[in-house]
Amino acid sequence: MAQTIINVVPEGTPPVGHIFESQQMLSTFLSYIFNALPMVSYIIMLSFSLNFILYISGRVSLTFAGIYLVGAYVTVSVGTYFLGQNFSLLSFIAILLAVGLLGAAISIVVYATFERFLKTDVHRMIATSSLLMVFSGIIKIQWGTTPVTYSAPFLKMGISEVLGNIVPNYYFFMFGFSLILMLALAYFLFRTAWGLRFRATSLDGDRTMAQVCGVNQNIVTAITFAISGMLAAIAGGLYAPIAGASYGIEGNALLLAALTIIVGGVGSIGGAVLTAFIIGIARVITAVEMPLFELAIPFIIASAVLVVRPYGIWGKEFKH
Amino acid sequence: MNTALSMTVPSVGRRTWITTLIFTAIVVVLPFFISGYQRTLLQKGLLWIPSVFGVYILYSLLRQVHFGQSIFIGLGSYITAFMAGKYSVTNELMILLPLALVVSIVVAYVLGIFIMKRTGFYFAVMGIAVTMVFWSLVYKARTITGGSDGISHIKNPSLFTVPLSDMGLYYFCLIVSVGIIVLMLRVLNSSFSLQLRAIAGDLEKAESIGIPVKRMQRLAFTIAGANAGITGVLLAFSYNYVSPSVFEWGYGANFVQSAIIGGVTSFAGPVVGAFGFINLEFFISTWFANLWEIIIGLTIAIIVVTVGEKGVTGIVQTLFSKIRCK
Repeated sequence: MAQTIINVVPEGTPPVGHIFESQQMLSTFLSYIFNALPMVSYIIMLSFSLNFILYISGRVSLTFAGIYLVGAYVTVSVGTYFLGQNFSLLSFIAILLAVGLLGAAISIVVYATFERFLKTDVHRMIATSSLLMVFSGIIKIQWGTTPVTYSAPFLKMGISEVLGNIVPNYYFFMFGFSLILMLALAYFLFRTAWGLRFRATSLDGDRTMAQVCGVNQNIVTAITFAISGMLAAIAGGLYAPIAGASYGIEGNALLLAALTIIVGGVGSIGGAVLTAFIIGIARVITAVEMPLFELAIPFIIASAVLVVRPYGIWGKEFKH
Repeated sequence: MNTALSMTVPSVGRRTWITTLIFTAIVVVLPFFISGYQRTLLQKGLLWIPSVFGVYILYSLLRQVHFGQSIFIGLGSYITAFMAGKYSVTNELMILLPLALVVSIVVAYVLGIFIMKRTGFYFAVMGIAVTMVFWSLVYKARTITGGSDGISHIKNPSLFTVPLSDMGLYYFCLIVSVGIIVLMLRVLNSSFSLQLRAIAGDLEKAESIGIPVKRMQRLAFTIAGANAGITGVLLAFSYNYVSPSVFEWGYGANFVQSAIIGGVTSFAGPVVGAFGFINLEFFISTWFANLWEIIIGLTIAIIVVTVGEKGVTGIVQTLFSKIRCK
């Protein structure tokens, strides 16, 4: 019996040594990173959707989670209706941009008709969390409570092998798309004249002074809400081909976005991206190693950061 | 800032005690005139009162939104489900209630260390996060908690080894919730509540005059949690069924919404809010089953936009004062 087992190993196999093991570990680690890419881009976009409003206008708004929900469902429906099983990258990007515009429109409308009149942060939190109920109620009437899926982009994009790991191309597309959006946003904020106006009214700037200098507060806040809604809707659209859209996913989005702000700090794009990597990779590793604690790990990271640095790793103390 | 706060925080007078007595008399007599189903609704309303009072204390005294009441309700419910349902250890209320109380106090104290590090938006979000974490743990640990199926067949409770009938459970719930109302009135009328108001007014000033800010905040959070833990045990017994949905953040948000419906400028707020929310939920889900989330959400949103945190009791108060002036 023992003889046969030894014979299974073919002759000429190199001895399992230190180098081989470390290569394997590297490969496993890389596979974690690749598998975390969708989660990372999801977290980057959602957290910045919340972060942007918080930083620029000093308001708390949880509506982005509802818009994320709408974005996911609309992408699934529109994608299935117009594209079906056929798939072309350009038309999918067009759908995503259209969904982004829809999200921006919803966000502006909700802001202009409703959120504008809320006076304190406490009121904003309660009212917008009630609006989340309204969003999920509308979703329930239109699409029901059974999950809907649209996985054509994910399947049709194929796979590629990177350093011994098989990774779906969609992961790279999703990450690249969100990274391009974040870079565009950073360019807008730090290199354009309008971006200067945004930064002048932000928590880092001085709102009264900006107003005196002729920055129209209302327009800046409205555009802030539009950008936030766009990011949230596109996040929903991008993640839908992987996870589908199901009733009640907005809670998860809200949780991850908010915990990312706690870890990364308010108003830092770099902090949001790095935190998204930390939380995303930690989540993937726990999902593989101990699935029970998959949702608990972002919370544990956030609690640890709260104890060590209450204003986030890259954050500053703001009073708003 | 301080004057605005002192105007919104009510004071306990003789009238409050009389109102409490009248309320108690009504809920004692009412079960004899209504059907069994209406009694269960009434019982649910009574059981919501302690949890809503927890939200109320944090809101009216500390200006914090506490979305995490569902954590402690869930803990209490699952303790009951394990002890009286799955493992059939005991169904004695006099053991289960103190047990749930101790567990929720310990959990609330430990969580308070992390959650109360920051206030405002961060506190609210951490509450949501914790309850989602509990939800995912309970949902995924299928072998222990039954996963999404939950735990059913919880035995009927017994009090001092005497098994309680449905009516008996109703009166026990009544005693507990009226007891907690009286206790909360005492708490709100104490120096503790004054200290919390000082913290809400200006944290640095409060710290400089020697109020242990962190400890007081944690204590308030613990009181809220203890209330919800007791609610959880009795809710599990009234439904005979526990599912992970008790840990959903939307369920915790319902208590904030009840507090807002009732209003936080009056002691009657939580009572009115709890019954108001339960009735609203009941009527909307019977008449327009699909629309209930939309209607409740819009109602709360409109209340917040128009009257802020005053709620129904605030509107009634302003109406009365207008009538008296004329």
